[in-house]
Amino acid sequence: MKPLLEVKNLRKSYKNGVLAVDGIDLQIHAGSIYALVGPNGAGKTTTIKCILRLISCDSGEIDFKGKTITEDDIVQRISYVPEEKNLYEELTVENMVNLSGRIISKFDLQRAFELVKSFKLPLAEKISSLSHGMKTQLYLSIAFAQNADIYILDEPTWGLDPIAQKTVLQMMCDLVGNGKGVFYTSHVLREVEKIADTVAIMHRGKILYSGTLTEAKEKFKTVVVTGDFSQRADLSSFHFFRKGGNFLILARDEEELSDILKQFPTSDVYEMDLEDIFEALVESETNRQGGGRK
Amino acid sequence: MMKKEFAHMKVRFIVLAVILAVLFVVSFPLGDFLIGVAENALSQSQISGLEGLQEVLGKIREDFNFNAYSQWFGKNLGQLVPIFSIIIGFPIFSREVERKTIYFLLTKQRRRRVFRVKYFLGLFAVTALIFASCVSVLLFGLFLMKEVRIKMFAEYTLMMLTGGIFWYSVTILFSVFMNDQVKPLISSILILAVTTSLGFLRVFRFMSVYNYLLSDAPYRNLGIDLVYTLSLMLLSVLLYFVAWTIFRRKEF
Repeated sequence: MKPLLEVKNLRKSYKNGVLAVDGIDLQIHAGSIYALVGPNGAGKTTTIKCILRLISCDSGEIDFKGKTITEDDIVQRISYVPEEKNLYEELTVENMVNLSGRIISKFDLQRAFELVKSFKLPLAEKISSLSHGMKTQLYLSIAFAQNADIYILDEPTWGLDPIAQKTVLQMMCDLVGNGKGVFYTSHVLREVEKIADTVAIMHRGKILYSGTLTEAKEKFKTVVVTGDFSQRADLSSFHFFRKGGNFLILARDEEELSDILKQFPTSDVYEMDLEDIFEALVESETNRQGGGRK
Repeated sequence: MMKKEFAHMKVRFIVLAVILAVLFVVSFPLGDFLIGVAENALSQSQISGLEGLQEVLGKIREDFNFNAYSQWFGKNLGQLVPIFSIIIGFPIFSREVERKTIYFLLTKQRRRRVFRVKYFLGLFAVTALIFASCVSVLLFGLFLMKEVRIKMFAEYTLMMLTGGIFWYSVTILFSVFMNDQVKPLISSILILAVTTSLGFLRVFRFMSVYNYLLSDAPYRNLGIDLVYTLSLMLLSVLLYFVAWTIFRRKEF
């Protein structure tokens, strides 16, 4: 099936020389949730801004439904919630929703007010007096009321209380149930584990892993090395990291696991959840690169 | 979107309109009364050498066209046009960037439309303020059955609009280029101050738009400086395209 949104070999560097996005690929399909996770500064928001043409990319291709993405695709087919949920502070909630109805194409005003009501947001309140969580809920209400093909949500649940988080995640699942695509970033790996169909782990501009969670769990194993290992192994070939005083090696596939076990036969092998995989990939990649970003 | 833009501009527009209205009332409907007060004070004054001033006050009272030039085009309105244009223009783009609402706007509307609506609505506000200020004086003169030189009023209106639009275009360029609201305001005012100061030197006289705006040439039936007017118009058009190019390529 052709993806709704496809990013190929995207690169973006800033004027200060920082390579924010380093040749990444990703595909977002209709009826699925694609979660992009990574530590701060990984390049997640930069990737989204490149897709939405808020910034220009150095190279790479961004296709929407098989064709190079256009400005019309962005404003009509994509609904976006940015990392910082800033709306017009001087407007009331009601006026903001009405304004959205006037400037957003394919906007369901009634649906927007239903969503605002479901979040129990006060219609007459000025946005400037809303809490961060309430502003996020308002932004999401507006975004979800747009009849788009893809919903790009940058940290949509950050700052929300657990009940609101759950509601938002359910709304995202409902969108997917209606055949929409959701591309979102998050720091909360437990929520990603619950709802994402595809997970990509991004670090220092690169996607270290992309695939389903089940695949990730089958693929990645962690080896806890015991005994005096420093004399016996050439560690540079492995993805190693330390956790809780233990020395661990990340096995990224069966072959690598057998290589590790040949060198450390008495070691223990463990299954990993998303949080472990994320930590292991990021930590080991940091160790391999040694220090700051290129 | 136009409604939103006007809502953002509403307070500034109303405040500036009120200032102009107050100045208009003081200069025209109350003008005769204030001149009478000044003449009375002068007649009772023991200071010698004020005869010339008395003569000027008499001319203001008798000649409506001189009144319009000396009290309005060559003074109040002429001095305020660049400043009011700067006040209208400086936050038009920079406010959206500073408050990060630009992400909302640019992912809901095409860049070209965002730029055009913002630019032309601000331009409309500047034009409306200046045009109303010019026409109200003309209408006031006609209402009082004064001898009014329509050509002079038309020339001053054109000069005020040209100067206002030029300073609006300069400010918009800064508003597009800079990411907060203070910098475009300070930059525009600084450039206005520098060019005005340089304009006091004969060799740089052309740099001060005030020398053009406050000119008595239309009153003296010498017409407008066509080359300067066309130059400002061309520069305004050029600034529009430069601002659009910057906005089109700008990263947010």
